[in-house]
Order: sequence, then C-alpha cells, then structure tokens
Amino acid sequence: MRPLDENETTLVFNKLHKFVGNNLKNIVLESQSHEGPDANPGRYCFRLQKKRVYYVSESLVKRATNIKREKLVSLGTQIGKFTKSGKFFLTIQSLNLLAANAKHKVWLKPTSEMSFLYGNSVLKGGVGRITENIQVNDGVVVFSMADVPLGFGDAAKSTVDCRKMDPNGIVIHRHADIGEYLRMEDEL
Amino acid sequence: MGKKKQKLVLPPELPPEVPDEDIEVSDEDLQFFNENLEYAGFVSNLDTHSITKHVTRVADAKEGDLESLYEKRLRKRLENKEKEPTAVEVDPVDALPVKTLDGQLYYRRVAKEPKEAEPVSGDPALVKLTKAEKRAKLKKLRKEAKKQAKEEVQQTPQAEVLDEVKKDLTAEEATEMKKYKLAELGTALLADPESNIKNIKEMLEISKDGNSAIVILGLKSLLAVFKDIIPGYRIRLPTEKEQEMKVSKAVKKMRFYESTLLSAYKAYVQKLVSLQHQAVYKRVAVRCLCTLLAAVPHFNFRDSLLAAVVKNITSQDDVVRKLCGTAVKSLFMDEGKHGGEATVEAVKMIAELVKAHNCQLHPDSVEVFLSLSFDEDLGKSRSSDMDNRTKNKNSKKRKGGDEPNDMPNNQGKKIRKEMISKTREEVSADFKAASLAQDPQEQRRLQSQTLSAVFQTYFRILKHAVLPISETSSVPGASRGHPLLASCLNGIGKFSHLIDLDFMADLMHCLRKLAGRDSKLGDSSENYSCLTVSERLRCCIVAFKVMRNNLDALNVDLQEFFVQLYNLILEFRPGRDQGEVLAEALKIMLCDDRQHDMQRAAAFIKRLSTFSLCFGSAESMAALVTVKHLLLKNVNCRNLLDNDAGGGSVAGAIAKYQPHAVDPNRSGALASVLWELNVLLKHYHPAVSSIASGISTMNMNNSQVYHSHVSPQQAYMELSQENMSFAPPTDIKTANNKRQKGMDKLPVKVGSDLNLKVQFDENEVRKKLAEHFFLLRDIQENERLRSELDRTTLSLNLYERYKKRKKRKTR
Amino acid sequence: MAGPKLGKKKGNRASNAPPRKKQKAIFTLEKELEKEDFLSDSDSKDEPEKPEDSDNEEQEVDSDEEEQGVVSDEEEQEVYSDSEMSSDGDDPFANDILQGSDDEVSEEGRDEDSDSDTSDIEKKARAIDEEKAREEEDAEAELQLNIKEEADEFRLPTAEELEQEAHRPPDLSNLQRRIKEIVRVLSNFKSLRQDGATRKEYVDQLKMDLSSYYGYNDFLIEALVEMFPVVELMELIEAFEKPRPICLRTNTLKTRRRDLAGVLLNRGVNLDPLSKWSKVGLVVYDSQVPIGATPEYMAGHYMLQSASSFLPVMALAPQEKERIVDVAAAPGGKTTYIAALMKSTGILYANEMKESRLKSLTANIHRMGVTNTIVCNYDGRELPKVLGNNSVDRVLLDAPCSGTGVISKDESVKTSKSALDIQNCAHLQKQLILAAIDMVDANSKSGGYIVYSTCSIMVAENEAVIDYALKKRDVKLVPCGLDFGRPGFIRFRGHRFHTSLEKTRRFYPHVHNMDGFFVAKLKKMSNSKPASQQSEPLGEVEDAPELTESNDKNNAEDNGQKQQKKKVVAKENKKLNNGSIKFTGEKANGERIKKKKPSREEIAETREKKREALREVKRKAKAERRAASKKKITEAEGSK
Repeated sequence: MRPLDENETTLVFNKLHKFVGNNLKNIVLESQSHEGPDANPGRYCFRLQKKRVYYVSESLVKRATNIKREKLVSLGTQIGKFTKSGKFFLTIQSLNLLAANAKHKVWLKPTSEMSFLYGNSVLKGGVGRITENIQVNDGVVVFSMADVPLGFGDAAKSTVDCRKMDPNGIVIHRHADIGEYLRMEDEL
Repeated sequence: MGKKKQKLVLPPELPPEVPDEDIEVSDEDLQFFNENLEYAGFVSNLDTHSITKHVTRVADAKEGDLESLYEKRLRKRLENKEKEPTAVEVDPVDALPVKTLDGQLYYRRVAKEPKEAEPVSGDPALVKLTKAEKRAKLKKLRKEAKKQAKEEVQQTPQAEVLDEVKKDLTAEEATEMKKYKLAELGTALLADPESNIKNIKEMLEISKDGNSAIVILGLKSLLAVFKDIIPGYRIRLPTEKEQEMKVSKAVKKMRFYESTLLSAYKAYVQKLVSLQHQAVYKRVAVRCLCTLLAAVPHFNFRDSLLAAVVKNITSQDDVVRKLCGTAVKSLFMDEGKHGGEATVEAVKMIAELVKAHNCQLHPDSVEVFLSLSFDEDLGKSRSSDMDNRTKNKNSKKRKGGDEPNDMPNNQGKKIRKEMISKTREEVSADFKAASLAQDPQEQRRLQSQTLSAVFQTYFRILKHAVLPISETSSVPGASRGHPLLASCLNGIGKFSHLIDLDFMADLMHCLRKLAGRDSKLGDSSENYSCLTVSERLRCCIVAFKVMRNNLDALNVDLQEFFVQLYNLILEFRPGRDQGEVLAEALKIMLCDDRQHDMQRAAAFIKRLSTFSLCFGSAESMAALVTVKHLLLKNVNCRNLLDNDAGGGSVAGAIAKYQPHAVDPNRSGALASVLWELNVLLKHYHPAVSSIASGISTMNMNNSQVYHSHVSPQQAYMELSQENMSFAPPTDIKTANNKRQKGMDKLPVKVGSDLNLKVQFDENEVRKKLAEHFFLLRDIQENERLRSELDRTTLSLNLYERYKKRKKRKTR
Repeated sequence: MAGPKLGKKKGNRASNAPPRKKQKAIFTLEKELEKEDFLSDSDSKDEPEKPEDSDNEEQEVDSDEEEQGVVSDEEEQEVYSDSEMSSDGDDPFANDILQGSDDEVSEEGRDEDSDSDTSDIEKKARAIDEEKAREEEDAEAELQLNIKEEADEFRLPTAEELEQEAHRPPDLSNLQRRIKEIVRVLSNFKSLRQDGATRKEYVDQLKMDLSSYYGYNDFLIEALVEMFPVVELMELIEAFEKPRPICLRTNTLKTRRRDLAGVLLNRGVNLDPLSKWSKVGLVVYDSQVPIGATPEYMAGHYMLQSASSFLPVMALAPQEKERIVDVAAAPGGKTTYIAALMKSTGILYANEMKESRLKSLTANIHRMGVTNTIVCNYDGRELPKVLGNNSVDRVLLDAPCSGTGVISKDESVKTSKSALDIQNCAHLQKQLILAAIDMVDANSKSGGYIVYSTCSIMVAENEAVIDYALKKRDVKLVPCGLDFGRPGFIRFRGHRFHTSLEKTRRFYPHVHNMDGFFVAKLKKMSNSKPASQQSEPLGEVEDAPELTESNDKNNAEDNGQKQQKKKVVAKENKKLNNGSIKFTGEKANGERIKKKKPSREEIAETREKKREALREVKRKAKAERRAASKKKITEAEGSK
C-alpha cells in the first residue's frame, strides 16, 4: 500500500473530475472523514494497493500499515483499478462516492432499470429525467426514479441533442452498474 | 422648392388646376424630400410670410353660402351615417366573428360606431387614447365649437376679393383668422372630402405659420382630418400610361382626389417628422405621428411614421415615450389593419434601436414586445390535411406545446389538446375565409420574421447582460446594470414556448450565468455588474418556464438553477427584494416540478422552514406552503418530521446537517429535524402557525391534504394584502375563514399538540433556537461584509479608471 | 342377553370390591397406584385385542370410568393365569392391583393366537377411543404384526431380521414405523419395554434406524442422542430436514426497514418483520422476483442472511468509534451488520483466512457501502501478532466449526463429520478464542468484550471451548443480551463446566426455528495471562496442568464454594505473575521488535506508549488489588 505518485494522481483526478466536476475539491480537500476510532480521524486520502486505488480515512491508513502488503486485501472504499497498461478506470465500488458528488445525473424509468442492471446502455426511451447542460462524454451517474444510484457511464449525446433523438438511441454508454456485484463478483 | 419659387413670382392667380400639376412636380420631388427632410422643414419655416399672405385671403365669406354649406354638411353627415355601417360589416378584423350553431357568422358592429359618433375628434375605439391625447382632443373639440360659433360672422372664400381684404388685417387678427380658417376648412373637408379636397393644401400652408400656436392647431386639425378622410386602402398613384389613357369623369375626379390627398399627407408627415426635433412642437408632432400610426397603419408612408415613432419610443420624456409605446402596442394588437407587415417592420426597427444603443435604453422600448401576439395554429392550418397526431407532433416540434404546461406522454391531455386545436382551426379557417386575409403561408412568414427579430433582441440583451461591466461601462448610464433585462426576461418567459430548440442551449447558458452571478464570493472581485436577487430569481423562473414549455421531448432536471435558488433563499431580504418573485420562483421551481431527488427536496424543506422564521409572515407563508407541497410529494422526507432516524439513517454520505452548504445535495438535511415548526407554532400570525401545525402533524394523518392546492403565490398575496390591515387579536376569524375546510377544526389540534410538544422539548428548542440565531446572525454578517467588499472594489476600480483618464488628459 | 346381566352383576360386585382393598393398600402402595392408572390407560388401549364377550362389558365399564371394575372383572376371569403368572402373590389385594400390569402381558400372550378376523370389530371399538392418532398407528402396526404373525406389542427385531434387512433394500415405511415405536417405548420405558430388552438395545436400534432413515453417520447420531431426550431428538432431526425461512437484514447505512419493506412489497415480495428482538430483520415468505437480484439488493439496501447470524452481532453490541475485529468475516453478513451498528465510524478489521471467500467478502462490504473496514487475510491465530495484544475494543469470533447446526443447509454434514473433525475444530477454536481474547484490551473504556459463536451444536465446540478460555485467561462470562435461547450446558455427560456457562445461549431449529447456534459473550477482566502462557503466546491446548487438576478438585466440591475457591486460585496466580508481568512485557516487546520490519517503527512506538500507559494503570491497580486479595485470603483461611 502506498500513496499515488504524480501521474497516477493526475489520472485518477481526471477520471473523478469527469464525474464530479468541481465537487472534486469536496472529495479531496474538504472531506472530513468519520471513519477511524480517533477523535479526529483526519481527511480522506488515496492509496494504491495491488493495482487498486482506495479512498480511505487517514486514520484507517495509519492502522493498516502494520498489515503485510500481501495480506492486506482492501481498506476503505475501492474506487478504481489501474490496468496492466497503466490506464485507470473507476470500478462500481466508487458509485457511492460519485453519486454523492455527481455533477450530471440521469434518472431511469422503473421499466428500464433492469436492462441497465444487466449491463446495457441507457436508451432515450428509458430516461425518466436528465440534468440539463450535459455535454458529450461527460461522466453521468445513473439513478433510479427512487434516487437509488444504479451505476455510471458517459454521455453519448448532449442534453440538447437528446431532445431530438428517437427513443431507442443510446444516451449513455455504461461504464459500471451495481449488477456487477452479482454478475462478476470475482473481477471486482 | 421649385414650386415655392413659382408661387412667389405669381401670387395672384391660384387657379384650382394648380394642385394638379403641382402633384406631378411633387411626385418627382418625393425622393428628394425623403432624402433631406430638414430642407423641407427649413423651407417651410423660411417663407411663412408670403404663404400667409395669400392663404389668409380665404378668411372672409358671405352668410348666404354659409347656410347652404351647413345644410349640405348635415346631409353629408346623414348619408355618411347610413353609408358607414354597411362598410363596417365587410371589415371584421376588429374582432373575431361569433359563429352560431347554425354556422353563420355575426360580426361585431359596435366596433366602428364611435368613429362616426363624432368624426372630428377621431375615434377612441380604434386608437387607445392616452390621457394626454384625450385631453388634447377635448381641447380641440372646444376650439372647433368656438370657431363654429365665430364662423357666423364669416363668409365662404371668394378668390377675387381675397387680395385687398387681407391687406388690412393686422397680425393678431391674422392669427385669429387663421384659426377660424383652419377650423372652417377642416369642417368643410370633413363634410365633403372629394369636392373640397384642395382645402387640405391650404391647411398645410397655414400650419407652416411662424406662430407655434397656429402650427400646433394646424397640425391637430390636419390630424383629425386625415384620420377621418384617409381611405381604408393604400393609394397607388396612376402611372404615365394610365394618365394617358382615357378615363371617365368619375375616375378622373377620384384620381385627382387621391393624388392630392396623398401629396398633402406626405407633406404633412414630413412636416411632423421635421417638427418633432424642435422642443416646442415635439409632443404635438409625436402625438400626431402616434395617432396616425395607430389609426392608419395601412396607409402610405407608414415606414416614415414608424421610424419616427420608434425613434421616440425611448426618449427621456415619458409622455412621448408613453405615446409611442401605446402607438406601437396598438399596432401589435390589431394586425388586421395592416396584415402584420407593420408589426414586422416595427419589431425590426426596435431591434435595430436596441442594437444601436447597446441595450442602454428605457425598458418600455422592449416592454412593447409583450403585447405581441402569435397565432400558434398558423402552422396547423397549412397541414390540415395531415392526420392530427403528426400535425400535433410537428407543430409541437416547431413551437413548444400549446398549453404552457402540457406533460409528455399524457394521453388525456393530448386528446384534449387535439380537440382544442381542431376547433380552433375550424374557427380560424372560416374566419380567414370570411375575412379577405392573406394566405397562412404569408402570415407565417411574417410571424417567423417577427419572432426571430424579437428573440434576436432578447438574446442580444441577455448576452449584453452577461458581459462583465468592464466592456459595457464605456456606454454612459451603464452604472446600474441592465435596464432592459427585467422586461426581456418577462418577454422570454411569455414567448418561451415559441423558442426554437436550437437557441435553447445558449439561452440556458446565458440564464445560468446570470442566475449564478454573485452566488460565489469570487465574482464580486471580478467587476461583474451584480444583479439583484429578484433579477436572478427571475432568471431561474424563466429558465424553468422555458424548460417546462419544451418538456415534451424529455424531462430535464435543472440542477444548477435549484442550486441558485437554494442560495438565493439565503440572500433574500424581505424588505429589499420583492417577495412575490420569490413566491413565484417557489411555485414554479418547487411546487410544479414533478419529482425531486430526496436529498435536494429535504435540503429545501429544511432551509425554507429555517428562513420562514426570519421572513415576514407573507414570505414565510409562501415558504411553508412550499414545504408542505414538498413533504406531500416525497414521502421519504417525512422523517424530517419524526425525531428518531427510525432505526436507520438515510442521510447518506453526509453525517450531519451543514446549514452553510452551497449545494442542496451536499447539505445532508435528512440528518436534521424540522424543529422550526415548533417555533412557528407560536408565530404571531394565526395562518402561519396553523399551517406549521398542519405540517408537523402531517406524518400522523396523511389523509388531510387541505391547503396543498394553494400555490405559494396565492398564499403570499393573500397574506400580504391581509398584512395591510393586520391586528393579531382581531385577525383570527379572518384568517380562519380564509383557510380552507379542515382548517377551522385545526386550531384545537394546534393548541393540543402545541403545548404538549412544548412541554416535551422546551429547553431543547430553546437551545437549538439560540444556536440557530447565532447562525442567522453570522450569515447576515457575511452578507454585509460581502456587500461592503463589493462596494469598495467597485469604487477602487472607478478610481483606477478615473486616474488613468486624468493621466491621459494631462499628457 | 347374558352379557349385560353379567356386566351388571359384576358391576355391583365391583362397586363394593374397591373400598376394602383401598383401606389396606393405600399406605403401602401409593407408588403402585400411580403406576396403576398409568397402566390403566395403557390397558384401555389394549382392550381391543380382547375377545368380544368381554368386549361389550368392557365398553360399558370404562364408559363409566370405573377403574376398579376393570380390574375386578379381569381378576375373576383370569384366576388361573393370575395364579400362574403373579410373581409374589401373598396379598391378594396387592395382587389385584399388580394384576393390571400382569394381565397386560398375559392378554398379549393370549392374543398372539387370536388372528386377524377380529380386526373389524376392533375398528368399532376404536371409534369411541379418544386418542385417534395413537389408535391409527396401533392399528396399522397391529396389521403389520398380524401379517408377519408377530406380537402386536413392539419388540426389537432379532439379529437375523436385521441381517435380512441389511440384504434387502431399506424398507422406509417399516423403518419409520419402527422408529416411532421405539420412541414410544422409550417415552415410558418401564411399561412398554418387552421384558429382557434393555434400554440400550432400544437406543442402539433407534440409532441404527435413524442413521439409515435420515442418513446420518453413527458418530453424529451418537452425539445427538447424547444431547437430547429421544422425543426432542426426533423433533430436532425432523427440523433439520426442512429449510429455515429466508431472512434479510436491512442495511441501515442506506435505508430504513419501513421503506425497504415498502419497496419490496411493491416488487411482489411477501414479507414480515422478523420478530420483536430485531429492528432490522425481515422474513420472506415468498416472492415473484428473485430476492437476491432485486435492484435494492444490488444497491446494498439489504443482505440475505440467516436469522441466527444476527445473534452474535447483537451480543457484541458494537459502539461507534470503536476498534473491532471480526476474526472470521466471510461472507460479510455479520461484518456489515457490525459496520452498520457502528454507523461506519471507528475501525473494523475483517479478517478471513480462505482466499476463496475474500472476493465475496469485499464485494459485500462495498455493496453495503461500508467504508470503515480493513479486510485482511490472516490465520486468525496470528492476528494478535499483527494487530498487537490488547489493541482492540471488541472481537467477534464466529469460529469455523463442524456446522452441525446447519445440517438443514448442507446435508453433507450428516455424514462427513467424525469425532476427529470435532476434535480438530475444537482445538482450532480454543486457539482462536485465546488469540481473540489476547487482542482485546481489558482497559478499553467502552469495550473489552469477546463474542464467541459457532453454528455447531456440539458441546465440545461450544461450552468446552468457553470453559477452556475461562481457565486460560482472566475473562468472565457476561449475559449475551439475548432474552431468548436456551442456556448452555453446565454439566454434560462426564464433565462439568463452570456454572456461569448458563449465561451462554444455545439456539435450536426445532425450538427457535433458526439454525442450531451457540453464542457466548466474554468480558476481559485484565490483560494479564497465567504464567504458563508466557512461553508461547498462542495458548497450546494440551498443557496447563495445574489449572485443570485444580478444576478437577473443584468438581468434587459443590458449585458455590467452587466458584469462590476458583476466584481465589485465579487471584493467587495473578499475584504470582504480577511480579513478573513487567519483565515479561518487556520480553514480549523484545521479541516483537526483533520480528518487526524497519517500516513499522512508528507503530511500535505507538504500541510502546500504549503499553506504558497500561503499565501505569496496572501498577496503580496492583496495589489495591494486592490489599483486597490479601484480605480475601485471610477471610478464606478464617472460614476454614
């Protein structure tokens, strides 16, 4: 387990910024963590362990240091992975973090929830609500109408274009959805 | 001017033929005149002497003819009377015809009657008269009466005696004479335009007099005359060929009449236009122009009229401005008179004007757009063959829904809408058939032009408002932000359903920028012109209207505007900002919206109820009504009402409530409790306390949804009025009968659960209240500091600029 | 007819017969009297097998419940048989009374030649009998018997019959019948056993049949039979055959039970709140949708876990901002519950030894939105080394076990487990619990608790382990905070356990309708260890002689004294090693420092500080403790 180095940090922050925009500073700087037994658990920080990036309270990090690297499986919230080729991508576990800070949201009609949870992209017909001012390739967090975060992806169309689309055009390309907890528990 | 010279050399013979060739000449001169009007003005002012010389000889007359004249006039009037109504019926543009069950149409006759009632003073029915104008008319009437009385003493004109008679008339007599003359000519004209059309020329001459009083009089009387005698069609002058070819007596006479009238009218208009630059005549000239424009927009020289009027629409003189405004409005109102071209021109001109002045104009200039009216079914009438569905669709595609809030995929509404549109179609269809209106294509073209011009203007204003001061401040009077913005926003709000989807994007962008202005402390340091809270609220409202009216495509969630509203509630000061705007915003943004996400709704509920503690009763009433709406709508927020987390926290990531949070989604309001309600129960205003108790008991019995159908606005209104005469002790019964049913049995409940609640958490409430007011205090503190900072920075910038300038000067 | 007259006469005679008999017999034979009515109902049961002449009289007689009547007329009918059979017949009245039991036998003897043609009349007779069920099975049993020309009264199959059965494919109905019979016989052995057959024979037969019918291996059946009386055993085994209801736990980090229930109801899931003892449990009756694949499940609004798995966590009662260890965490049901109770504050070490189960563990933790966990992959016994002794507030040890409580979940347990397995489990569990205790900090303000739980019902894995821990460490049992469940065994077969073990809780499928489960909650009293432990931090199970034998001593004495005495013992050896604690502490540090990698300096320091602090506390504590203990001892001596 170690802190991220320079370009890893940039990679991670870019990805996050795509989804949370300026809330990134809430996540990184102004985050007062509540995990950890100490009176003041300190802030959250990013740690790299076995190619995975974790978003952890500092006090947890402090206590995790006496666990052997090969024995440490996970700590805090995993938010993403680095691929062999050094690319970074967010995993479904980061959903809670993203949903709390999301800049762009899409609400799915109950009818289309399931298809999304089986790993399909979001079609216009399935969109119940969408935040305005989404540009193409913005990161979008997908909610159910009951505000249950279901997953995230990036926008295939800007909000304005969405109006003109036909109902089965793709609005959002899926990155991750909570269905993965069942479908691919082992890859997580 | 050539003609003037000619006149000068041989004054004695003024044969009736003179006008004829005069017309020919003047016709060639027309362009010349239009090019340089001031010449004409200059000339006319120049040789009033000579003119008066031979005009005034018409002054005296013989009794004998006078009587004959009178009875003739009477007869004329009678036959006019019986002629007129028949004319009216074929011209139904004044009002939509009533269609009876058996399908034939009745046109309103009353529309034109007043015009005939007293022809001299123009008809008030057609031209909406401002007070000033009415007064003027009355004055003129009186004058006319006087003249009539005097005329007994006078004789009808006789060319041969004129010369020697006029010699021995002194100046003031002359003026008197002129007055009489004017009146008399006018009446003559009115009596029988065709026969003594040439009197107009003389009147014109008179009104070129040096004496302002005379001139004014002349103008006015001419106005009256023209308004009456100008025909319902546009005069086209006969071409040479037509001149050559042989025509019947009547036709010749007609042509002569028309040409004379036309030339005179032209001269008159030119005169007006030239005169309006002189302080003395300004108002009169403008009034005349306006009245003409309003009365005879279809007639020739409209564009010059328009130009003049529009130029004046933003003058400092409010009388003038009002006049022009009303004139333009009336122009917009009844397009029937001119089939819309005038509208288009006017709008375009105004657009130009705004552009030219870089948006630093008086709001009225844009206000007039509000009175524009667009017929949305034009498109349909064209595609009436297609089946309704497609028609509806494409008409919606082109220009929003018909009702402002028509929901997508709502069958019932759709069908109803189809019905409406269909019936409306039929009506309009055979209305067109009946009225000889031009084909819908044409109309649509005009409309689209108008629309584009209007929105162009609006967007220009918006864009301009978005720019930072540093660029606008070069324009004088940019000190107080954006005069046009408010009316512009209203306009957009009104026509939001007509906005093309392509504009939508950057429109929203502008609005967002505007609404976002000052929401961050950072902005004040950059020298943005800060908008008032109400303006920014308006921005939000407009954004919502626009979105809602184009919702049918997909349901867009205007997150950022919610954020703005959330912060605006914080900045809102009951005294400083209009509460009704806030109320409207609450209504449109929070109550009308179908669903919110839980966090946001909770955040708003919390903040609203918090601030309803420090709002005035009216505002807090509106706020509470909104809170109620929200609570009714999303059930999850109800656990703000019960004290325990119910064995689980839904507050999500944020563990405790952060009252300062900028983003409602981040405030974690669900972790808090609506303790404010308990305080509000003790509110001095019974209405407020009762609704507070209603909300706090909502969880127990969801059945009662009274008051939920009252919109914040209504609530606000009714309380703000009530506050005028509000005496807490006496007010209870009024408040109670104001409340809906269920309210009256409420106070009992209030009492009960009030004192039980109180004995429960008396001290807790006290504690919380204390900290809460600390909070409020330092929020206000922040506000004050912020504003101070703004002021200082602004003044600093100014000082910088000033120093720079000085430097430049010194060099 | 003669029948009725006879009957009347007999009736009259009968009426005057009892009094004199009673006067004599009443003092001597109370016991027999009780037995008597015992028998009477049993013989009324056997009456149908009588010949019809006596039959109708029989009916009227027992229609008016005249006990003595029965006896009397029998007596005069069967004088001879009496005389032959009555064992010691000096006192006729005593005889009369005893005959009840005797004539049973004799009748049965006689009935052996009565053949199946009588059965239809018997049916009539049965109609008026009140215990239908019993009747039924008798009937068929009797039919069977008749077919086989056997005695209607159940008797154990002979060796050669068993021989035959072994060759034949098992005749299930027959097995079932026999099991029922044996159970019946065992339920009141004295009366129903066939003479000569010992209880043991019956039990062995029962074991054989059960294991062959339900497919248990002999060991398991043996163990179960040892633990339960036969009737309950049957209930238990039956309960093992059917599955427990599906339970789910609301994740209070994300939603509330009310809301969740609402949503699921809308999805067509038919559910109810679990029961009064859980605020977060829901029990699912049926569901249109797969309950494990709803959007809510994926969103982590609830966790599918058995009701029994709530218990240890509720017993642990974690507090916010605590340091808690879950020694065997996978698949994370309990872990996430703990985290939820901690409201995701504090720190929660979720340890799991098997790599294979780590995936599901982490997945669940993330799905439930738990952010305060450190998932690590150690053998639980190493944890004290890793996390440090006395370093956490609470430990949940849901020990790996034989799984004999969850047979309903996996059938394989029935056959797979052997005595050896249990031994291994127990051994491992003892090591684990010592490790767990060592981790806990006795001086923690909020905590200092260890919860030990297994899904086994084996005493060796539960009470034995706790008892061992009680001896090995300075811990005491505290109530689990669960108001239901059966108290643990205090004495079982040969061995007796510490009396406080009744504070532990056992849960059974047939009683609580949840998996067989055991929960014990320990409070750590002090961080000291017995001197014998110093050499090897992990408690080796075998040694620690002096304590065990002292315990044996204790067993001799009765509980009250034993307890006090034990306390004294504990005090004493505490006093002994108090002196050496400091030294040992340093020694421990020494070796730890040796082990430590350079990267871990700062932790060592922190630990150092902590230990310093603790020592301070202890030194203070020591003084008065010495004083107190001295006083105690003097008192004790005084009392002796």
